[in-house]
Amino acid sequence: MKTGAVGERFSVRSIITSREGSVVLVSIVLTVVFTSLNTNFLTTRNFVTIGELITGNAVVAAGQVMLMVMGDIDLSVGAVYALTPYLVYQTSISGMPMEVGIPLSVLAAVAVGLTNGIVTTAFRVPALITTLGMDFAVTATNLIISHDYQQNMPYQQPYTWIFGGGSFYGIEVAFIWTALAFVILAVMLARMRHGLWSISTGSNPLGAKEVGVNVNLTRIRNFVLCSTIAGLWGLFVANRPFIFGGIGAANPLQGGDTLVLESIAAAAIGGTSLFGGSGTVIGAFFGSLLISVLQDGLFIVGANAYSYQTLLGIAIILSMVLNIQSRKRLRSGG
Amino acid sequence: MAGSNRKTLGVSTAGYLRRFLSLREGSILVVLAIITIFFGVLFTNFDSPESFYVVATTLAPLAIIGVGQTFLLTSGELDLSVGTVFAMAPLIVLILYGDGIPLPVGIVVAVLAAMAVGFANGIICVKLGVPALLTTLGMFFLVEGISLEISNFETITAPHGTPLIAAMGGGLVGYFPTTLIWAVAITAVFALVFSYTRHGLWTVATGSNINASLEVGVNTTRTKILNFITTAGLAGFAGILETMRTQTGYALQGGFPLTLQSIIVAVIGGTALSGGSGTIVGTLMGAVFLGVLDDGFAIAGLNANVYLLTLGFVLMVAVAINLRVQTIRKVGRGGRQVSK
Repeated sequence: MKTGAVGERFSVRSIITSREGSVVLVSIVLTVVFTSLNTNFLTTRNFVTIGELITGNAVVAAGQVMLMVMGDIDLSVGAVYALTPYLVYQTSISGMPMEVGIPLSVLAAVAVGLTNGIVTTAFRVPALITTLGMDFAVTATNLIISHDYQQNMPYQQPYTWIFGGGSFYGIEVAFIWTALAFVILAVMLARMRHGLWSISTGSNPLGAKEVGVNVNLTRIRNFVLCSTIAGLWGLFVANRPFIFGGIGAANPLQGGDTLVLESIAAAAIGGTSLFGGSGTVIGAFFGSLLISVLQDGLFIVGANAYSYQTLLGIAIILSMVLNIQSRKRLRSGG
Repeated sequence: MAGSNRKTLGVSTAGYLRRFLSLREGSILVVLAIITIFFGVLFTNFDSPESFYVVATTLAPLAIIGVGQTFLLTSGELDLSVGTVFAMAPLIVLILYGDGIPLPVGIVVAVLAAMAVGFANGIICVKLGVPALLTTLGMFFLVEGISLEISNFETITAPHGTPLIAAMGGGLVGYFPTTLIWAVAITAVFALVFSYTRHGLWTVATGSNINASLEVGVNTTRTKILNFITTAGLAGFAGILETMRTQTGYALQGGFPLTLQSIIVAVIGGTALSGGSGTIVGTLMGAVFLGVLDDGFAIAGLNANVYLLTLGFVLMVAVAINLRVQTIRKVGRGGRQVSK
């Protein structure tokens, strides 16, 4: 890489040391291992399952990336993920049609993000604490309004179809939304002014402010973005039809801590630095892919159900060590 | 009132109030007093022995783990894996006990295992440069997996009745559960370590300015790793005490909620999340606060969800106030320096 020769750009070393390369490599290795253990792993049906897993958490991880590149984080995504379906259900039983209920519930997710952003920027409370407090507050709200009961989602076309309940030529609608969201977010972070502002805020907030970046506005926008994503995808998963492994119900504990931890893990495995200043949306996708392949593969080969946790832990630590050590190597040229 | 008067005699009420509030522990003490009086006046059975037992047993594990977390936060790191180490250590004790190994040996082995987790956290974080948040997040899952596997996701019943078990959290001395006595003793010892030993000084120095600390010869690597080991060890020990008290051990006890609460007690007690400033006494008061809140809400007949909701807001408000107080404290100190 140092010599700058074009031929070296695609050498094995450059793939391993690139942010996403090592993650893809590990995913491929895992796929080969799981296929050799059980041939059912390499089937269309199983790819659909992996797709479902990715749909559930990948975009939330991408939203997390938008915050992590600024050195912020959102621990309340898991709670918001469960909040929106419940609000749709609640508005529906109080007689409102879905065309009112859905915008209202998404607005609630926006409001949560806005509050996170304002508390973090105006009162200078660290994002970790703000969103932790918000996580408690929203989880409690979910449990209070739901009385801890699972409820069937209201059914009203075309809204149910659009918001995750439908399939398009055999592809889950939510998966299409996921793919679309990745394109938009990737372009936003890598090509648009907002992305540039986010990364410069993360790498040097003071310098960014001096060259005219509206640091607070950028941070608030990303908080809103991340929370809105969590709200929307929570809705998609609650509306998910039976054929894609859904139950079409709002559950007060959907998402939760697991989603929070997995979204951060996916973003981090994908190479996003926690200190801000660097990260890619596509990395979050690969991070989520790795986690999903791991989860699904262990299930298919009939491994002990508990080994997922152990391996996820090892995957997070190992990928971070590889990531940081390889970048250090790369920088020093050795 | 002349400024010099206040400085030399310290007689002004406003001056006292200001100085009190600018203590790191000032705000939590005020809030704690208000909420205790509030519950005490409102509910007659708040000062009953049963109520005291709930407060004491809720605060004990939080205080013990919070102390470790305070050291870590002050040195500029944090540990998310405490919640699962809390579950792993007692499982090791119970499984070894089931295999015929005596309890004291099992307890030592389990605490050593917990410390080994902390050591691994420290090496990965400090030596290999992985952010603590991710290192310990990975470790959280890893340790949870280990607990699930060794226990096969079964609840294991702890033995009871012997003096050792009573001393290790399973008994009462008067009205005081032994878990509380352990918590107070551990807090006292670590408060002294924090304020009067080189390790305490190094911890503060490492967290406030790591480069300057390195230049004056502080072994920041060792300091941080020691704090990781302490935190994990205390988490394991707290887990053992809790299991001896409840007589059950299972893989999902503690978990992420406990991790979060251990950070909360430190932060609302006045320890800075950004490192360089911490207070062990504040952490103890933070733990007492959560204990009182939990118990008060239960007596008031509010369900656990309202507790959770309040906790969320308390956390945000407490930290916002703390940051404000820190600014006041800095300005105040600056003013005194100018008057010199």
